Amino acid sequence: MDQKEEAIKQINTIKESLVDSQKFVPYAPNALIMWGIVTGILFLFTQEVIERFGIVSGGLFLAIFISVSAYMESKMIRKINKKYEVEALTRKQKFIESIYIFISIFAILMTAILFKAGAINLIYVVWIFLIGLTSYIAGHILNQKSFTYHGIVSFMIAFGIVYLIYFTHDGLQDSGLSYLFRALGVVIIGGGYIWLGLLMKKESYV
Amino acid sequence: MFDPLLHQPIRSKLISLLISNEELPFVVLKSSLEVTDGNLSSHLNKLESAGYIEIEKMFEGKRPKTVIRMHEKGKKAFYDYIKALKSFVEEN
Repeated sequence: MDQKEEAIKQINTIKESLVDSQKFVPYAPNALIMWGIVTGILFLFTQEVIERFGIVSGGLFLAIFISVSAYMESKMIRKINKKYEVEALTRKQKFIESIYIFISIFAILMTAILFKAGAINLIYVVWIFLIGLTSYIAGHILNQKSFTYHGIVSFMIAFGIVYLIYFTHDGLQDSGLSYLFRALGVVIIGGGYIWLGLLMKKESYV
Repeated sequence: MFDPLLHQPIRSKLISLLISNEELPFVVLKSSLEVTDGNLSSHLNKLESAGYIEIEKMFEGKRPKTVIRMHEKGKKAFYDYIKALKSFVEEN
């Protein structure tokens, strides 16, 4: 190999390493699977809980599920970090965690307000859009295209739901649509996260 | 012509990883570079002797931990090396 070829090869090696080094953000695939199950449960049962026990109980139901899951996720990530001798959460992990917290709080508040306003079906738009936003941002930070695609698909579903609500008589409260949106939430969000977790495990990302 | 310490694929990758992350544990470098403990230690020692990096060994609880950090001298050497590579490619 002549000197020029060798120099070009070195430049490419450095470029690749610089790009790859941005990928090192330990994450626990099991946490994604857990979120898939939790979001599936929330999509299926939150409306029933609010209708039977009221907005405050519904809010508590959401807050408890999300807080416990976030705590479990944090424990799982710390365990993965230990494997790499990273004792505290990295800056990127903290950033993603803070996004989760803000989005969760906003989702709970919007759920209460929309239910009170009688716009039940809009709750699912907000959830799917916000969860999609989290996937989209996390995808860019973790440099994981599958996360980003999950975010984009969620956005499309949310826009589709808005369209359906707008063009359906009594779209904001129609119970048939409500079941459809819940099913979409379970499949796209719940199933999507489980799929992402399994994909991450398969790729031995951590 | 090129810095002999950096003009070596594993060491240039190693420095690139450290430049992006400021500091990294030994195990992370080992898995990222896909090298053995001995091989990595040998490269790290060379870079440390030149003052490019700092190797800190410590205990966290009962677990030993090794962290590697970049020094300013190492950063400057790395940027100079990239400049030298670029100008060589442009001139030839």
